[in-house]
Amino acid sequence: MGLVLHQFRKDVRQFRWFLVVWLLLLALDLATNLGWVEAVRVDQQGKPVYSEFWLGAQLTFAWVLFLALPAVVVVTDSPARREGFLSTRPLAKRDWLLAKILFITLAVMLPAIGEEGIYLLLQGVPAGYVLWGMGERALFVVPIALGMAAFASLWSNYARWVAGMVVSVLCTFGGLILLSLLMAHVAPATASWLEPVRETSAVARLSGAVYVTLAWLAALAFWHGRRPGGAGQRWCIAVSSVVIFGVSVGYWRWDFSAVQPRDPAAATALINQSGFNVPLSSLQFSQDSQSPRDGKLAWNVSLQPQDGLNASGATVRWVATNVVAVNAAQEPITQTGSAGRLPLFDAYYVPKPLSETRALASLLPAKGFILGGQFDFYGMEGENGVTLPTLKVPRTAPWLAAPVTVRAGLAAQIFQWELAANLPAHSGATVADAGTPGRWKALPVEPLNFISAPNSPYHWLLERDQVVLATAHDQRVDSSVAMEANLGFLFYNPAKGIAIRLISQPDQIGQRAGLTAQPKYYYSLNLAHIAGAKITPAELAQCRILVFRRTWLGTVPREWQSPGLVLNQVLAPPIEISSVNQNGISRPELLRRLAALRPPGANAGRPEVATYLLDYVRLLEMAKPTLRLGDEALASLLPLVPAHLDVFLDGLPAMFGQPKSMVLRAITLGAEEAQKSQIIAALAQDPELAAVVMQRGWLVEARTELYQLLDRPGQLPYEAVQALAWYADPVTYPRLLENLAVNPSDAYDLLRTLPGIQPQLRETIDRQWTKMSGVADFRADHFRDVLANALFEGDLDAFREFWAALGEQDGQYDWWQSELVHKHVRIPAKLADAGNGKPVGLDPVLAWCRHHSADEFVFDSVRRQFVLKSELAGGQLASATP
Amino acid sequence: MNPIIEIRNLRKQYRRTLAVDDLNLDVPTGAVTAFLGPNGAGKTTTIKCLLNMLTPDGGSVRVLGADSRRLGTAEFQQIGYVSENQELPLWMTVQQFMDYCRPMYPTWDAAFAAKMLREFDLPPAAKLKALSRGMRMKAALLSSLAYRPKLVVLDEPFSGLDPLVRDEFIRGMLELTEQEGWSVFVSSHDIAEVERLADRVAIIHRGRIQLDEAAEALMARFRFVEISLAGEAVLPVKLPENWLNVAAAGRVVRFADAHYQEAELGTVAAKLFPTTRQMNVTPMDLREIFVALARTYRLTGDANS
Repeated sequence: MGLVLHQFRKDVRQFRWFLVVWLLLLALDLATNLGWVEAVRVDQQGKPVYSEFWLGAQLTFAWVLFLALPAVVVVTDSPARREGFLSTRPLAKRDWLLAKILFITLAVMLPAIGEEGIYLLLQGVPAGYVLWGMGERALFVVPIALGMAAFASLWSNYARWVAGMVVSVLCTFGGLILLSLLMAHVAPATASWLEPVRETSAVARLSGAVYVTLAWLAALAFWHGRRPGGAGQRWCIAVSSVVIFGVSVGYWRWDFSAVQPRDPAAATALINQSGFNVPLSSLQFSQDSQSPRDGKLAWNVSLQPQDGLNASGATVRWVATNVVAVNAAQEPITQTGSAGRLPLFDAYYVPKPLSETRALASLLPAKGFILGGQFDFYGMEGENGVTLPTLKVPRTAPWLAAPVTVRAGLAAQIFQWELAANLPAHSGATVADAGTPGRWKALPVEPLNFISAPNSPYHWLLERDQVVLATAHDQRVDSSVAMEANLGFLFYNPAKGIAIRLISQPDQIGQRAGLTAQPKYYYSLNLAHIAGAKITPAELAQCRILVFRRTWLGTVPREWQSPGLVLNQVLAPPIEISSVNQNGISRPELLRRLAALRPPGANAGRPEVATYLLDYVRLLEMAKPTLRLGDEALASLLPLVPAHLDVFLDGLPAMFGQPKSMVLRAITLGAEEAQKSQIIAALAQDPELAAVVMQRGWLVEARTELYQLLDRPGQLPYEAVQALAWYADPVTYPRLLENLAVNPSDAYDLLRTLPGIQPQLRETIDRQWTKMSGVADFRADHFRDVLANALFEGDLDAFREFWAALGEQDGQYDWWQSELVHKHVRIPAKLADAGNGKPVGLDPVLAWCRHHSADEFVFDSVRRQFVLKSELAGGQLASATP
Repeated sequence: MNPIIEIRNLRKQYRRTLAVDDLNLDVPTGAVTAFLGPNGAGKTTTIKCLLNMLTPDGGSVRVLGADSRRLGTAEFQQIGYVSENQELPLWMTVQQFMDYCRPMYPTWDAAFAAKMLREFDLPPAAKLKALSRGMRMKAALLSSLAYRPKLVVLDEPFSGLDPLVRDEFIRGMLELTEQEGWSVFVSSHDIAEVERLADRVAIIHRGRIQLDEAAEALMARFRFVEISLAGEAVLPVKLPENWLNVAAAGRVVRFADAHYQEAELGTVAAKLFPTTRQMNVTPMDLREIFVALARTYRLTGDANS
């Protein structure tokens, strides 16, 4: 032992200056992580920055020393040296090895581990986490330091060691490229080694690979010690170790830090409680426009499960795991889907979805809503639809013309938002995180110099330091991209009950203190573009920054089976829709060209008629989209209808838009009475023929076929809804009410007069509003339509939310609010009409609105408007709904 | 007494070069053995094999009674090794260097080390990298002798040293070997360096031992012969094998007699050179013997031809 310590002391003396620098860098790293050395600030682009050179240089040097010190201390007395001083001195190899391990342990590893311990202690982290964090640091530090030392023991001098490193790295890349090419050739289905590299957590992958490599290196070093060979043996050891490392990194499968569902039982209970239903109207069918080489028909189904999830803060995302299509002869065709990558990792999958924002709204401290000013929540893809994997079926009658059933395995990924922090909206505030040990702090921000918002006070830099243990936490959740999706920031004005979602872009998230159990993240948030001028300093003092965090509750499987569907009926021919024709031909030109078409003769066959119809439709497509064509455009088409109705009916499913409307009009005007049954029979093929049925007065005769549409999957066209509504049959009401979700405005006007529908209608509207409320975006047609329906029905909740949002959104959208005010609120006559019959701008109306609170209004069920209680006479109060 | 180093059929090859080829050598205990040979003869390879710095490809080597491949701390505590290419810890001072080496050797004699420090005139506080080559060799020698090793192995220790330093070095070694009775195995490419030291001489050429003999015996059997003739000297076709480097210049014939016997020499010379007028026989020193042999090897390629 004496010689071990003697050699250790020699090494310490020999590398004392390296050690001094190493310890200084560790101290500097500690001071930086603690924020003692340099503050974080926000640059002109709103990005949190600290001196990149400073931090980068310091970390780089520290890493270089961490990697080099163990190697250098070994190379300096390398056992591979022929002329080494110690090779002819009485120092046993065991003593030499122990001395080097002692140096690496005491001088390199322990300080690195100790730094982490000191950092966590000074951060006030509980003792258990301190030890765990130090253990993780050791997990990382130990194999790398010892591995570097073991690698260095193969080389006799520094030049050879560096050369060995370079060659080994090159061999690694070369070897992995070769392996990848080989795998692509041998097993194309699992070709790329990049795939496992992407999917497995980096921490698990690297740690596992390091340990595998260390074990390999130790075994080879033992072999080398027993049977020392020359340079060839050393190169073999070095290259094979690095290749082993590379392969391990590429193919490591055990993701020991993978995110685990937090409470699968709670997730299952939520879904069971809320029910599971796939409305027929939500089914959409599409076929691949490219014909597969095998001649089969490729098609898929999209559906929108209605889960009714109403727990505060809970959201669900549906994914498809498999799909089976079964024909009448019970012949199945199966396609497997993917398990569905958790959206915890990737914000770009569903950017800022509406459902996520609604979940945040449900967690507001008091009843309030989120104003969609900065982002068009409704316009973004976000509803929880799922597209089943594409199926390929033979183009035979059993598959295309007979009923086929689709069965799908679905999985509901359930996520839970929770409030993590509630900070005053000014710098200096610090609050503990409601989750794992950590805290949030609002740092002071220098006034920004944005061109659009000079010196805006509505900018915050939030610092979050939180224990994030690598062995118990999936690092992908905390990537800058994923953090944008898993953390929600709201600027909340409690006086108004209104919140605005603050978005922190990935490039506006900074991170410091990388390899530690408590990294610091910095989020730059600003309200520069939103209603800043409308918040007074006094109000701002009351406002809060709310921080929410999303976790994965669990994934619940579900099975779904469709009703029988006929593919020929539900699949429209693939349409290659090009960009909208903005520069179409004018009306005179169109009419001239239509007249110039040579209509087929009286004895013309089907091909000639079809060609003529095709040319006709193409000309209509060339027209300006704003042209409203009248019957004059049908002059040449009408005579063909009676004789060639079959051509028209066969071609209808391939048409859309104005051309289709014109052809339907032609059928309406041109079909003979004797062709009634033919047209009615074609309803199954194209439900839009309901317009013809209605206009020709054939509703009685078409009852059976129209009722059959109730069981047709997919969205019913408005014409079909109109036709079915005519029957005023309660049997039809559930299916008709499904259409309200798709077309709230027109469908409401149509349905609300149906006898006996009121309770169901009210329930549907309530349900729609309940789902919609919490995120108010007046730019979105759908939101306005649902809100309008709710206001028409006298929903006080909707009125209060609408009233609170008046004037809060950016001025450019005031027109939408103005329209709603004039329609649903009884405003003074002098404000209602500026003399020319058009509503005035919102400002004078807004002033009047703000003069009254929502509670001063009551719903007048006769006028179907909200009126001031004070304006109602005693008798009129009876018609009002509180 | 058993040899302190026994080498049997030693073989070592570097790729396509056979550095040592079937080498056999015994180094006696208590004597100074000079291991001579031109550059590239295999001297350093042999030394490295016997100290386990290289692994032989064949044969065996025993040092201090132990297999060279199993030399451990016990053996190395009795071996002192100094080489021209040895890497010293140049960042240390002389004193630090001594202090670093001392704990490894139980028999370290601090007084002896201090005495040698004075005699070698080494500044204790000077860093090794600041010393001249000669001073560094002295420091290395000191660190290898202070513990009174039984075997001292010196590999080209005088290479690059100026004559004064070399002389000091040799004088120092002479004194110590006389006083301590160490076994010394010293290699060199120049006999002049080890002439005064060597009790025994071994010559290696192209990886093989060409000569292994006590210095006295060697000097006893070698004579430089100069024959003056009456007429122009003409060399016979066949000459005695023990006559080395026979050269004729004018009326004089000169050669080295490797196995000198007075009577026989006279007889043979008279027979081969009937016109002999005068014959001078002088002793040869080791350097002259070495040169003669080296010349012979170069000309013939082998000592046996």
